[in-house]
Amino acid sequence: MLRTTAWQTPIRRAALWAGSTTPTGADSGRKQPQLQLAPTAVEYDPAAVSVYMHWPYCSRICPYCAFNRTLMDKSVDVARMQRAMVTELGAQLAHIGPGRKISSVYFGGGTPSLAPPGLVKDLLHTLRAYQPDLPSGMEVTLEFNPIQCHGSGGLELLQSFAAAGVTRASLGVQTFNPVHLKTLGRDHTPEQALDALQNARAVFPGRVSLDLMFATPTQTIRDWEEDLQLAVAHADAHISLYHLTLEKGTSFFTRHSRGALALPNDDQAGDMLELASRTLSSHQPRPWHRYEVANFAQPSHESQHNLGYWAGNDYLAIGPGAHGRVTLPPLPAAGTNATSTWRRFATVQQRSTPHWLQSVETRGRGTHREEQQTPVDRLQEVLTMALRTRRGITTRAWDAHCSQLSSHLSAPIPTLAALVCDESEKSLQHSTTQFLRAALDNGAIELDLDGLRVVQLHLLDEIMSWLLLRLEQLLSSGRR
Amino acid sequence: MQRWTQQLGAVSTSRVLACFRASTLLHHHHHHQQMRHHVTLTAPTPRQSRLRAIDAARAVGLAGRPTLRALSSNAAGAQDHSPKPTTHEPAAATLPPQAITPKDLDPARFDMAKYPPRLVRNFSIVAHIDHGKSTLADRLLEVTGTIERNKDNKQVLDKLQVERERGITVKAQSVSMFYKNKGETYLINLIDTPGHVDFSYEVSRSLYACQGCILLVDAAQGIQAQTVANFMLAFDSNLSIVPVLNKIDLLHADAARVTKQMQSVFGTEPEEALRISAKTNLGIDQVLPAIIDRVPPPSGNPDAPPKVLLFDSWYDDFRGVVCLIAVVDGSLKVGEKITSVHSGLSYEILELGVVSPERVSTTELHTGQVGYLITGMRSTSEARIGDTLHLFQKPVEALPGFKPVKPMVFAGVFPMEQAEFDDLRKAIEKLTLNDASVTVHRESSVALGSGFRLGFHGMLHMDVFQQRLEQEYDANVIVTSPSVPFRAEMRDGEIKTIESPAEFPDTSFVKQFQEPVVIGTLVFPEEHLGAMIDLCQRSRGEQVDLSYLDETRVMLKYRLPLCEIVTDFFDAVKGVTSGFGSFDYDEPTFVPSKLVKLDIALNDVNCDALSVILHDSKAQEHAKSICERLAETISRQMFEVAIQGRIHSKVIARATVKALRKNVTAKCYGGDVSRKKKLLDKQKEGKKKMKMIGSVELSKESFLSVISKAR
Repeated sequence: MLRTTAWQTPIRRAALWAGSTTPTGADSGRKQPQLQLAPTAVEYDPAAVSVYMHWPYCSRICPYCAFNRTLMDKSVDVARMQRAMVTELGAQLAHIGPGRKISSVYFGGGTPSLAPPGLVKDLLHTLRAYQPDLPSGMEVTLEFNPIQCHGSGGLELLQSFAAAGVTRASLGVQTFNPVHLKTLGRDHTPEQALDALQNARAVFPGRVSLDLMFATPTQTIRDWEEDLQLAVAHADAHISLYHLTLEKGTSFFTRHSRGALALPNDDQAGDMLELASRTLSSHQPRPWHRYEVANFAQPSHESQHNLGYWAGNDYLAIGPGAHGRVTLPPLPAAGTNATSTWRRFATVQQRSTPHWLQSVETRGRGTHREEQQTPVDRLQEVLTMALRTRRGITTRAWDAHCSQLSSHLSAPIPTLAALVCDESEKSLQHSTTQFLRAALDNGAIELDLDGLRVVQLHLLDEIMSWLLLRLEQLLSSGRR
Repeated sequence: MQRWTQQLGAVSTSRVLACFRASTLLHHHHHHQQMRHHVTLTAPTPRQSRLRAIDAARAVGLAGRPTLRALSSNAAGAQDHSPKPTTHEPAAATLPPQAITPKDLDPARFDMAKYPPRLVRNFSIVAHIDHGKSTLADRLLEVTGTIERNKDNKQVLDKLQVERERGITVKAQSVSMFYKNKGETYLINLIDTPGHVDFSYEVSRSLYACQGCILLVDAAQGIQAQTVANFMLAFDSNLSIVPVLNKIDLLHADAARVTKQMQSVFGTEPEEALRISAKTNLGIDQVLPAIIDRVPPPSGNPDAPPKVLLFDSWYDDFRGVVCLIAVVDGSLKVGEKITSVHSGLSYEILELGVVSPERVSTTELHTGQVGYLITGMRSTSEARIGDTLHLFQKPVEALPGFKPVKPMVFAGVFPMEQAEFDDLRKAIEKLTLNDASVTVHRESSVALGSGFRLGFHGMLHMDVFQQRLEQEYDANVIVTSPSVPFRAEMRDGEIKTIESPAEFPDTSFVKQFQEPVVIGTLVFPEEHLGAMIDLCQRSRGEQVDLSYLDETRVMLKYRLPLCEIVTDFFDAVKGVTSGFGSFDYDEPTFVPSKLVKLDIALNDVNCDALSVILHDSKAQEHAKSICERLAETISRQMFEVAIQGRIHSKVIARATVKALRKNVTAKCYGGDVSRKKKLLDKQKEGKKKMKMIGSVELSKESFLSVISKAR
């Protein structure tokens, strides 16, 4: 079910979802999940929208985590929370209007495996009400804490979520090393993690993702290698890597600023990322495909949800502190000053759970901020996200984004080729052009008819900052 | 007189008014609280230690020049033709409280015909920084009624200077005062000169307009390097010298000791020296009578055809070029036509006058008088300092000493991005309109694209120019390593001047290289002698003379290569003498030298903008130091960077910057996008300050690191 077989311009496709025609590429087959292999790439699709739901509660607070989370204790009114999330999803769907195509759902947190499975069921019910032909095998991921998933109790929990509609599990193993697990404040043992992994694979065969962390306190490259060996031996079809980054407001941050936390330096972290890439991609008999900077999958087992983010597709934000992106079509030309172009909004929900609850209960949505992206913001974000993937940004995706923006700008939006290698003499004297040229010459980036991609993914931000500067220069040069 | 001639006989004939200011400024500031506002007025907070010295030097330049252009161009222009009392009142509101009062502008005073040469005195004040030159000038202006006597008059002229419409070209000033002595009114012109070695030629030209000078020495501090140098300059110009001891009221003043020093160094008899305190007005009334008695009147011939020295010029937005002139022979009248000896161009005299302390137009100027001249000149480059003017079609012999502009420090100036080239060109054009002494040539660099090769009098001149480019014109520039002019005597006998490393010739065609050397004068407390000699030796110096000014102060003379002292020698002198040393040098001469061109290659590509010419003996050490400093300032990037110092193609030093290992955030999901955007934005802004040389990113700091020499 490659969705890109019959490419249509976004505008025409948008016209489709504005009406009631069945979206192209929608697959309503009722096959077993393991047979429904995901497509290897997700193209930018203005009709597609995924849903991110944030469950803010945890049974304990990890010392490195800066996500929006609070302790789940007896005072938490789970039923009220569940009602509010369903309400907000309904309101968000009403906000984007009918005709959009739900492409994936992701439950993150916090620890969403602490939520009642009924929540998943209710939310999917709401989605099905919006889109009756919602594919049954659609990717619905939920993050699980291994401590809840081991043993027979764990198996039951996994099964109950599967019954509620979850089709994919993301397991927060982090490390198989007992010492590092403790340092990270995790409450499970390596044995429990392996057991949980086995359970998850049994319930969601081919659809289990394993989370691993690297560059954690006192971790050596040797420790990391052991983690990787265990991972390739036991992982299902997807592995996500996290470079531990210090975030303000975490216990690690405070300890590090006191000098009480020894972390591998950037060079060592670079070695670890490279080791992971080498180990996973050369693994036999099951080589892993690095389809994004820190994500690895067996063929056709990429995360649809993540690919949607990186393609620049829309996503709805549900729950406290959740972020979303919503593109709305041009307003009907009522007045002379009516906007004639597409508008894309960056949205953030109320971060504090009580405020969010109150807001949802009174207004339907707990949206705290809804900011229209400028064309430059949008294009920079599109580049930033898409170039994280192995496939990079495709010419078609770039052109499709640009076609929604062109009337916003006085300077013409450059083609990908013009962005990377403008051969005009004046341009060659620019440092940005010189850098990109050197990057091309040395194979750090690749440009062809299909699009632009970064080969040296470990230097992505270095390359990206030049690209963003170049884009900014090109878009501002017309304004003078 | 014989005594000092004997002692300082080796010193060449031309001296400049320079010293190591920062040290003495700070030192003095500490001892004399009354100088505080002077310092804070003129010395902005410096960024680098090198700039610290420069700023201090600037402060001196300001302090040392009684500026005459009290008013904004607007107000001054309005008054030029109508020096009536009432015209001053509206302007007074915008002026410092020391603005002159109506009674000072008695029109009868400005009938210039009333001042034949015998009633004219032209003099300057020679002093070390903070020995009280500005305060003395204030007192003289008060005594003569040029400004109102007011106890708040503190460096009046310095404050007016802050207008800075004359820009950085620290040039001469003049102020005309009228003084009654023994029943006759004298026209007394105080001609003040800049205080920095960079402007030695300008100084020599302004002194040419004088017949005498006050040698002002701080009774507590005694003789300093600048005092010596300035005295030499005055003496070489055959000026009559009036020694004056200032600050004799200070508790730690030691007039006897300083008088002895002066006798030993300058040969002035103790009884000749006036003892004053400009601050408290003590003894001030002796000063002008002494000038009238001891300084001879100008010796020109009133009946000869007009012969006029042009000794300064500046650009006025409203009036165009304003020239400062001294009438040597004959007289000038408004409406006459004059011709420049050196350009052959002729101009009509639109306005003539004196500065007192504002411009007052007088319709004529007579023999021996000093004043200003406005013609139709459009650019200061037409008003060449040292030029001789004569009446149209009545040629006279040119006055001696004229020299075309001869820059001593060159540097490439390039826009950070080529798109900014036109903006840079416009900014340089504007700045040079007011400072014709900066030479400008287009230059093209492989690494940096199109830019300019600019020539300056010296490092102060260069740094101030660059500061103005950046501050006033918001120009983002890269300045390449400064270089002094070298010479190559080719095998075919031709002498080539090398103003930039790009001009360094193929050595197989060179018979001999030459480099400029100067005689440097250093005055400092005796306990620093060892360190100072070390410093001079490290700078390839050759000792010429060592003498004791008294029991505790040493005067050292060294022959020093100019390229060793242009960058940070001032700072080094300050360092080894704990701030108590002063330094000065004369005009350079060229001597044979073994020179090499050091190239810096980045990943095997020579970066022409980083090349320097230097002495063979310094090449190894310098190459190593440059490579190390580049390695420290070049950030790790996509590829490994190999830095090599090369002579011809031989590698004599190297350093490596390892490739960046990882620069990517290894997670990026929905909620992280905003956070990630901030990080990337920061990185992106950083890239704006980067310049690609081949495949290597260089920051502006990298270029700077090569410019300043490590010691």
